Amino acid sequence: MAIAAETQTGGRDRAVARVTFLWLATGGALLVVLALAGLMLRITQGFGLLSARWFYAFLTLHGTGMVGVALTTIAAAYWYVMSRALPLSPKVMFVAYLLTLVGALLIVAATLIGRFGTGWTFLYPLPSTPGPVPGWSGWAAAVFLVGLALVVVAFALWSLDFLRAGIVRFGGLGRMLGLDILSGKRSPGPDTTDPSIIAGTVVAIGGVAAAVPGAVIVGLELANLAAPSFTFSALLAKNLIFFAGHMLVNVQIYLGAGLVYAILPEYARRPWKASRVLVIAWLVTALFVMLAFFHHLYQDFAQPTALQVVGNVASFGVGFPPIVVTIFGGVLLVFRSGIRWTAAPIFLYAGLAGWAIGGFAAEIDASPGVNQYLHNTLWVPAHFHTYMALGVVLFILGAVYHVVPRLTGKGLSEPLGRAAAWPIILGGWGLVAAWYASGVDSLPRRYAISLPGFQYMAKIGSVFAAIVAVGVLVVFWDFARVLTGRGLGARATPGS
Amino acid sequence: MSRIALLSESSTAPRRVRTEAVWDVVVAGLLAVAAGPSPLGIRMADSSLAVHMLAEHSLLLLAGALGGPALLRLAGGSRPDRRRALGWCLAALALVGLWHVPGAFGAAIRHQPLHALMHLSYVAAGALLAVGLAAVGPFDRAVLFAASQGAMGTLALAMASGAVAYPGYPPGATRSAGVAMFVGMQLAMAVVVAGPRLGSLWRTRRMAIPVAGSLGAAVALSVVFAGLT
Repeated sequence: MAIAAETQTGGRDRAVARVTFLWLATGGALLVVLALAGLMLRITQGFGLLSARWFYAFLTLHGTGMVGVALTTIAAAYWYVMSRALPLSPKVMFVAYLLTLVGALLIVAATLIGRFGTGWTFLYPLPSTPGPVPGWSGWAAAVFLVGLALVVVAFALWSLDFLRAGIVRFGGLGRMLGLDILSGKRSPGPDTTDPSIIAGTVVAIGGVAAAVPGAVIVGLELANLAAPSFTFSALLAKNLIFFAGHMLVNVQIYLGAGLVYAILPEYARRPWKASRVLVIAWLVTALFVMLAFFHHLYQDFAQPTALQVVGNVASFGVGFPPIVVTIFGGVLLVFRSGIRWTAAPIFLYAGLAGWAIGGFAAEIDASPGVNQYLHNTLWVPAHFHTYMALGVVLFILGAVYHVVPRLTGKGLSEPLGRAAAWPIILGGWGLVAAWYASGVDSLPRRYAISLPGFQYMAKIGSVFAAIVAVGVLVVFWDFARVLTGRGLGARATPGS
Repeated sequence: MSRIALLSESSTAPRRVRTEAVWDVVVAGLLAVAAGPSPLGIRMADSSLAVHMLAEHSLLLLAGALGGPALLRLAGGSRPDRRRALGWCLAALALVGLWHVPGAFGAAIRHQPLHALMHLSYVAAGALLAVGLAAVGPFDRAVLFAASQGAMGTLALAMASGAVAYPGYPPGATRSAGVAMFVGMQLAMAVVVAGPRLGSLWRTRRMAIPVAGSLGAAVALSVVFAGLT
């Protein structure tokens, strides 16, 4: 009986490893391609490379692809780390992988073959009404929408499986969120939830909830493409797109926090336990995570002013509590711990900085009075690239350096990883600094050609983006060596 | 001594359960009357769409949620199985959703009997949800909760953006009600997550008499004042 159980566990472990390996390999390759697409956009704005039509197709590919692939890749890394603590299903994860892969390929086809170029926001009626110069045909819009829907369905499946596994382990949503710790019924320990699971639970609730408005808006837009006489409110479309879209972007950083909670303690050799303060912080985030997107709608004056008030309060409420508890927790965890700064903790720790600073820049823009000036300027890509490229992507890289030796028995090169961290982090900060400065100058975003006199900002940004690309390619090259069985021998313990 | 205590407990327990269930039904009934046909309820419906949809209908749902399980206990009914319980939950959500269709809501505003039917539907939906949610598993509850967050949010946004308008109220009222509903659903989330704990805060023996007294007095006073004015 014991042997059978062991074999079963061994079989599950192998399945978990196989699915994670597939995810990381595919996600890594896609992220590199999408990052290079982003580099081309910046070069176009600085030096002129792509025609306007191609610029918008690449913009759509880069934006949508990064959001979708980063979400599912960081979810996969988190899933692997959590698979020891929770009975997560490799089968469900494999189905989610296939859906994401097909979805990503459809988005690539819609943008690179069909030249669909609305940007990731696909605001109605743009998909069915490209404008006086025909930019794309109906099939490209339909393929894009279906591709995006598949990625959202994949994440909803991930979320459902996480909730199922968490409830099997803890018995209910309340205990997954740490309500028993909050009420003092239980002290944090092996029988209670931990910070990673709390963060993951907030994400999973958001993932299921976001699927509903996502399905409604994709359905409405597909119906409009099939029968142009069927029309609906453009403002409703914008609301639904940002309700689902903002939440799916927002939760990625929480998965990153979950990874930090789970991985960093192994390097610091100190536990990161749940506390009442941490539980309260995440409950506040859970309350506000669905309301924060209102800050995208400040300029839509047809909607009530109350919306701006709610958006302002919720934006601050959703960001600050987890940032504060996580940053303070992280600093205290590492302080005098004797941590050895290998590539994994370097990327994870640097990712915390990206989250904190990008989050703060987002809060600035989420204040209605400031948004009046920064709305749709390059401040917006500045802040979201700070917590996406310098937050989520760095968390993914940290997780890759931590997970790959356990998956493959072969380690990535530490000297190469540490060396690559410099261009990625410094180049990344240079890239976003150019955007922040452009935003303060009120330069509009999503312009294929920079305004006269301001191209130098895009040129500076391009140089820094190229520096990032060098670092990313070094890591990817090393990763590819491991995938093809040519990596270094595995390290036994973290940081050794 | 302990045997005597056990014997007396076992003989009084069913009676106590029955008495508590009766009190729960009384409180639920008074709450439904206060929020529904009483001058208080009519005032709530007339004041604004947000108060009508959010406050009044939530109170009616609450009345059903308190009274439904108590009635089931009084009738000696047993917990439904998972499939039936899920069906009850979905039926309750469909019932609530139905009255959010502008045509149905507008008709209820115009015709008093339909308005009463709408309010009764909310009480029934509260009862179905309370009994159903207690009988389904924690995973079903989590999924129902997260998915209904998304669905309620979608409807709230349809109202806030002006895509949906309710006859009988000015368009601005629908937009404001949409924002209020979006915020309200977050509060509902807190209630659902903390549900079992909040439920255990209700102590029929200690709280039913003062709450019933307060509700009864409020209804009586509102009737008197409505008569005077």
